[in-house]
Amino acid sequence: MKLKMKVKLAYVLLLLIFILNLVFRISFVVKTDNLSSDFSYFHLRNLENFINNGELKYDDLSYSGREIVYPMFFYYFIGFFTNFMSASLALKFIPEILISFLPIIIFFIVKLIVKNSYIALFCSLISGFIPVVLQRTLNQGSIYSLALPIIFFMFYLFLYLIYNKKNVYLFLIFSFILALVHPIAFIFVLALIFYTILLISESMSLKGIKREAILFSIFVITIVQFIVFNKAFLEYGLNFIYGNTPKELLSFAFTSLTDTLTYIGIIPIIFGSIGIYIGIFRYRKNSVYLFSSLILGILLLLVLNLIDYYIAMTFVALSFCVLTGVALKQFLSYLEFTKFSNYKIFFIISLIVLGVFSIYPVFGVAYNVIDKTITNEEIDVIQRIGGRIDDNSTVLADIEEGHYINYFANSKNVADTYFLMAPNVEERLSDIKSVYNSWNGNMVLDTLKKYRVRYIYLSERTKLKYNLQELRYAKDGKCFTQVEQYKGNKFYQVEC
Amino acid sequence: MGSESYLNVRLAMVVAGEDQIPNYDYLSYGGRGFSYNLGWPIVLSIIYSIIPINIHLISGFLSIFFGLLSILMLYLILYKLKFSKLQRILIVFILILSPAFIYASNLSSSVIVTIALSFISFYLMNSNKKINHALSLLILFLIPLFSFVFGLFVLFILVLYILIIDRSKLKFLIIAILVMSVSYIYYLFLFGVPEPINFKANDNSIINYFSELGANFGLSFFAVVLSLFGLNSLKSEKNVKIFIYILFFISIILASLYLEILFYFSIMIAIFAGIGLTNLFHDKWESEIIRKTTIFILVVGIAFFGISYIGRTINLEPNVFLVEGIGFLENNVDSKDTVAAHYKLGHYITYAGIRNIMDSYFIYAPKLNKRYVDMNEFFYAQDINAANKFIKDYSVDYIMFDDYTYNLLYKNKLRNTYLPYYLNNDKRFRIVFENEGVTIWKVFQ
Repeated sequence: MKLKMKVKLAYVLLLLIFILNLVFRISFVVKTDNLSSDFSYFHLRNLENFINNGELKYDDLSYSGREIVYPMFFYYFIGFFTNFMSASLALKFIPEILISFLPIIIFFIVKLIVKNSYIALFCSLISGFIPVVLQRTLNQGSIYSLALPIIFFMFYLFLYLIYNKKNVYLFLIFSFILALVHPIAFIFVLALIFYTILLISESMSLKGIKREAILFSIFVITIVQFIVFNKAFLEYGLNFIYGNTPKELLSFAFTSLTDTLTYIGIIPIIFGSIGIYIGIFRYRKNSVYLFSSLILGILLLLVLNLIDYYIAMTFVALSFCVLTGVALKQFLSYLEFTKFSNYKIFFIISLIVLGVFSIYPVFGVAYNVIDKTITNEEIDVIQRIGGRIDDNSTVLADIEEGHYINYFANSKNVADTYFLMAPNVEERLSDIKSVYNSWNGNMVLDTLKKYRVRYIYLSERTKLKYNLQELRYAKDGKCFTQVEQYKGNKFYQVEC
Repeated sequence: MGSESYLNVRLAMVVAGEDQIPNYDYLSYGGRGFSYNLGWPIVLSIIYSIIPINIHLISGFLSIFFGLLSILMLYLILYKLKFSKLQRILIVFILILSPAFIYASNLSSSVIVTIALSFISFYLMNSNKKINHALSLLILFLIPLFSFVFGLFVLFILVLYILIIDRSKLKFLIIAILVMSVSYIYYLFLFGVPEPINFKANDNSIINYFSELGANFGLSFFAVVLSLFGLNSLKSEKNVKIFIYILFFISIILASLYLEILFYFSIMIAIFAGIGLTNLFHDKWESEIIRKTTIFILVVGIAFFGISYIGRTINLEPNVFLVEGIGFLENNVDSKDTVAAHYKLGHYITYAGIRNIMDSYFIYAPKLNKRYVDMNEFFYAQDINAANKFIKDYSVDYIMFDDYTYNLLYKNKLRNTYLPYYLNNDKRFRIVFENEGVTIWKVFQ
């Protein structure tokens, strides 16, 4: 009876964590009418296009015309909710609900590993407030809001299969779904491969349903991804994994240890690292090998420059959250054998306080994300420029604002941040940089002619990025005239 | 399909036109000895003289015929080696859908002929009749005439097989070595020792080995994975295992040096993938649903990529734009003129009846390494004098690029600091032909 009560209390608390997480997210999402990243508008355009005309296979606007190869499952999923609300609302709120399930999944994973609901609740709580997860998913209609819960649910199913073989159907179905959601599914495959290698190298058994599940998911995810992204694979080979992202945007060489601490959070890093040590070197826990393999896989991709640094940190942080459970379990068990056992409750309260305080910096991250969201006034300026364009000419904006131009001005851009199958990315990136950095108007004109550019967008963000106040060569007013402005956001018309 | 097809068709037309094998080729490398593997062009020219229809059509039919013959012979060999019916069917299924085999069966080249001849020779060698042994030796003699490299590779497999598995055929091996050496001695006597290649003609990245990753004639990724299962579950005698492991290891090394070895390697992969798939069928798994779904997925994967590769072959080079470009050269350029282009376009240029500076037939090519260095200096010329020197030294009249070779040379490079800058800005270079895939400049002195 007491146990049942305890279990029920744990689930009530879990529900509270879910609600807390969701309310936290929604409270920030409603602070603005708009989505908080340029890439959100790539999703919104694709979603609206999917609802109205079906899959967008060729985009006339992005890169002034390019093929689009993007997994459609996300749009099918969000598209269902557009029966009840507008596409922009669905893209604002549904991903927030989806990512809020992640702490619940983490709870079940940790509970399965350490068999302690309260430790699992603690891990669940901190996993809901990881800075880097919030930074990458808050109010951005991010596809990772769907991919992350599915990947961790797959890890849960994989671990649970050993105890309950009835779940095999669920495992099969989700293997297919995961493969259809996003190329990041390869991380699951990579983790399983490392897991196999680690187990073999430690002479641990890998047989029965576990081996079969590994083989199955490796084959399914690889084949489905090969089929879905056939064209991209043929074009880029293995480099497809990083989606043709320019190397300079992938590089993590400039990130410091402080950045990593800030993105992941101190508690997951400290306890997660201890969890790896205890799990691998002292207790040889299978589950710890699994999440260590995930971290190893991510590190390999990072070293090879095949993954975005922030996405990598997202996976590392969530793995650390799971491994925190292992460390806490051992820590509390160890306390029982020491003279401090009478003060156990003091340690637990300290941990909870620490956990709650670790949430505090996340507010800063969330405010930062919302502050950087495009304003209605900026949208108005971009739309006005869209109204001026009556021919096929192109608007040059910074690469991180290309989707704004496509969506709000309904105009062609020179480049944006969706690189897969995009033409001459490196060259365009370098040309855009030269347009903002150059002092020589004639050279810039040559570049602009190449892309048939008629307007240049200089936003506050771009000014900060390139450290300039206005286009240096536009001062004489001969070939470049300022035509629209709101605060620091300006449009220049190319007259020569 | 493929530039080698154009070389073979041209050589066949030259042989058929002159009714004899000429001594000199005036077009390739601006002129070189007629030191080619002439087996395939001679076969084509003989059939052409009997049935005077389009020579491209003849070569297409012959390639398919030899492809079918290879499959039949492989099936018979597997039968003789006591493979089960399921294994035989699966191996043939995987081979038919393997990209390398599909490519070879569509290419007008000696590859598929040498494969078919190797199978026939092996089949005959394993019979008890002496006449069959003699026929087997005769076929072995023919293989180097079709390809020097494949001849050596077949000989290597034969040596390995007889020394490790069947020593009773040592006498056969000695005669085979002598017989096959005749062709090599003939070429050495006539043309001397070929210049060693000091540059890397193949990009050794993993992309070139797997067709799913974009290779023109790579292996099938899923067949490779299945073959690992097959190798892992091999229940043969120790010496057979040693033979297989050595063969696999050496083939991988050779394929990194000479990519065309993948054609033979894909047959080995198909055999072991078939064994692996059969074992998956028979093995007992804890979860039946996972076993069945895994097998289903693998079969679908192999079939899907095989079929989609067939679709891809339509887009393999030469594409319509390149064909138009070749047509322009054929109709508008004087046969004494020289076209500078990446060596991968060389056979197309000579097919149009125009001289090239370099092409991909490297064996016995004159001053091969110097030409390669010079061409690279030309393509990456950072001042006009370097480009001028090359134009003068090789009497260049035209410069040609297609999208593929342009990207090969300048992708991820600042192209405006090299030859393309001068082509676009120096008035001595004028575009005389341009379509969506090919641009040809005339050089005005």
